[in-house]
Amino acid sequence: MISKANAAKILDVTLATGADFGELFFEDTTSTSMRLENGEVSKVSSGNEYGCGIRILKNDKCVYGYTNDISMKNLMKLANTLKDSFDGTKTCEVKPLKEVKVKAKHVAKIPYDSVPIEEQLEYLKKGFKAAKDYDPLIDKVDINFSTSNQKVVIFNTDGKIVKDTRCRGRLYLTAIAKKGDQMQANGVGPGAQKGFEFFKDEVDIEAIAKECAKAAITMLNAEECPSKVMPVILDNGFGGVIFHEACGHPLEASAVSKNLSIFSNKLGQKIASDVVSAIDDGTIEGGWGSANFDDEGNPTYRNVLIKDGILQNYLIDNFNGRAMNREGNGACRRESYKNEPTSRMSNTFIDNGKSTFDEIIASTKYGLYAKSLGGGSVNPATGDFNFSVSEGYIVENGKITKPVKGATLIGNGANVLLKIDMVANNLKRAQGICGASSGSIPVDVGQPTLRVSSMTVGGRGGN
Amino acid sequence: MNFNKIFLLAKEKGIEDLELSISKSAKLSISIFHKKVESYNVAENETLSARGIYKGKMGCVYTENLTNQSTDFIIDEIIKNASIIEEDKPAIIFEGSKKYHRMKTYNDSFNKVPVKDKINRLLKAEEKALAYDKRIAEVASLSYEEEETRFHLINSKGVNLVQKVSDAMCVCEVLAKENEDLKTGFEYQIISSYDEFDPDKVALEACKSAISQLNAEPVKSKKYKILLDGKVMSSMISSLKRSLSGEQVNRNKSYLAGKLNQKVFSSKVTLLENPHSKKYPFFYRGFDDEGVATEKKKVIDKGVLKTYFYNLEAAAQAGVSSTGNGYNSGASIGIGTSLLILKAGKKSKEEIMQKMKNGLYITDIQGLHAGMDGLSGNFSLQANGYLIENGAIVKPVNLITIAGNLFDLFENIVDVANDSTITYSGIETPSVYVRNLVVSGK
Repeated sequence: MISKANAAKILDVTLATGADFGELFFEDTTSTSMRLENGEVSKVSSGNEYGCGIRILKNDKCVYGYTNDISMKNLMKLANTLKDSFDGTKTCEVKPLKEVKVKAKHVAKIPYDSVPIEEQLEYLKKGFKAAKDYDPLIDKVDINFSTSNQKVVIFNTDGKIVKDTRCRGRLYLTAIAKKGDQMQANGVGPGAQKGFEFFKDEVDIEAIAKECAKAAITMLNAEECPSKVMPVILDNGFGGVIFHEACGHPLEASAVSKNLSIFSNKLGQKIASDVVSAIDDGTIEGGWGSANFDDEGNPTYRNVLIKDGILQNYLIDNFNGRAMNREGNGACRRESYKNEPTSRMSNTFIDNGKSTFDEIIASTKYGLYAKSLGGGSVNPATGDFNFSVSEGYIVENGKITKPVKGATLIGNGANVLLKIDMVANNLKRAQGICGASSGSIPVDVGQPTLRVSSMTVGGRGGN
Repeated sequence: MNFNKIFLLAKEKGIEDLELSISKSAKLSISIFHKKVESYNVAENETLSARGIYKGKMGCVYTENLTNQSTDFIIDEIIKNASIIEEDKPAIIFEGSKKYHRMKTYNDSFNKVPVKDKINRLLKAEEKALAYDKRIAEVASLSYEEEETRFHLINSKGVNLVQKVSDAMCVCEVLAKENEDLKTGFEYQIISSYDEFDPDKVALEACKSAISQLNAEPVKSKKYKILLDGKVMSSMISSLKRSLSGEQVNRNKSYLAGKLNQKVFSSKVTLLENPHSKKYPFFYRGFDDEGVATEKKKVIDKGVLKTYFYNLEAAAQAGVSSTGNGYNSGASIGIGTSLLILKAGKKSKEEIMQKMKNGLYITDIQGLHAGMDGLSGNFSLQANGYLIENGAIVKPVNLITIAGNLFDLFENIVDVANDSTITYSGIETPSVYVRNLVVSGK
């Protein structure tokens, strides 16, 4: 994309008015997405995201600019515009540029562009058929399949050259059940930072399609969820979205460094019950939210955030880390060169506990078992969060009794973690897309089945 | 980039018709924190989207690499993508409308003001916010962003249209604190000309909203009469757009399918689309992303469904004309809208509260992307606002959920206030009184 010598020239400009750090982030991403409606390909499009973001830091200030015209002339112009926003003279030099190399961990064994389209379609259509044929109540089945290959090259004034390639693929299958005027959709969306081998070897598309269709029908026939405060059992996998919203976002340095988080200044303090340990791990091989390097060129880490209820660490990027006297810990991410990067999650999960799924259900007198969750959101400053239950059941006297639909769970991050009273040993991760200030990025959420002793459950069923 | 070359090569490779849309934008954004510029962004971006008909099917591609080396990529991808499509459906490149509405939408007042002035106005507003009340603990973010966009549409059937829009936005979030209780307040302003820029007002409104929420608590779980603020109502109308999409209707994936000219909602509901509003030039559209001329229309008239939104493809499938609602979604064309207006009523918000006597005034909802099922219309959403007793606000309420069904909600609108506000999602709507919703609190 650009020679080392030219990169050094631009970086030199970034330091001209007294800045202490300059960075060039080049990106060349190709992506394809296909949509199948009722088993036929209805839409196909592809794209090339291509450009450069320039970031300059001077103490506690940050300027950022981007362009898709990466000619030397235009990049010099952008660097000059950005550096002119500071007053001052040069205080440091660009260090000699040298590539930082690590053993690439997330390499596609079967790149998507090497798989004939017929083979990809044959695979996806198996999923369509399995869901559609599951029951006559299944009215429609749609599948989205998107793949992308992001190539990133970072140069910075500390002398770093970092190259990383992220190859990702995800399918999203939606089954719609219909009875009279009533329609109920349900979806499933496995993805990974792997090639087509992930789908071929790890995802039994027929099994997940049937499971998805079954849940759509169960929810179509379900009663409305009652609205009241009660114990809630969150199942493993996507249930981890509770931790993501309630605790993950408030642990990001972007909020913590400005004292705008409920967890600011709480390192070493008890913020969760003793049975809770939580981890953010950007190094998981082939993980949906993994990378060899983060988006400012730091290697990713396995960061233990909470151990036995005690806060151990935050998610830190270099810039916000300055106000905290901390170095970045591999948690700096951005959707593309069009986003100023900041601290974000990668693959975040609550670790295994000692209970079992059966024990948790059996010891619950009355409560909601949230088998599958939709997304949610949080206000990091107050910690107030919400998330929706896409498949739920009522538990009575230690037994799962009937399905309920339309529930939303709300609470506050500062106390929900303290209310987790049982954690099972069946940790599972699931894929999601997380939207925040530096764009929409792939993340894993995860947890074993766990119980929150009381939560506000909002449904349409009244009380 | 040489566009002629793309058209020539397309023809040579067997692409019957081709359309290019080039969107070029320039952006400046400034955000301040603790009396300093915390972040300063400048950006320019140009994206080329191409759609071509190959053997009767539409292939789509976009690229940000606008050098001549992309020419082959564009053509190859169109052919490849078109060849994969199996569904039998019309592929149309438009020959152009007879007449287009024209209005000046570009405003150069933003460029004429030095950046330092913009920064100073923000800094002063931060100072005023902090001085407004001792319970204002922090101005968490205060930012200004201006953008100008030029959209150029050219196709092999002779369409050649350009539209240039400029606007700016000011956003503020503050934190109010009393004892251990923390609340945030959020406000923004969309600006069509620099002289409207009023960061002081934005910041003070955010302060008022944060302070008024202090010491909020949940109310008892039961059914309440509900007054939805314009900002909340805007989200509800946004959620309704899916069911008005001709594409969803054609596929029978909309609750409103087959209900044209029927009374579907309360007679208080009149919903218009006005792409030519002079009041809000930043939502102006003279033509849609397929080159179809836009027009002002009634979507719902006193509760009666008058039209769906169509692009060319969905219209051809339904045997009607495009309504000028073809909007880019990635490289392909989906369905979108310009400015939507829910017609205001005559009573003030206060008069409506008096009529309600008791209930909840909801000013904010959260988690719409997950808590609203656009297909079935069922929703359960985190909300906050105020308790109304004897026709007046008595105390703030938070950490509750409001639950119901979107279509029932529009059916159960008792009255519509006269306090219309505009939201960034391109919807102008007043507060609305809804018969009841299920509330979960304590």
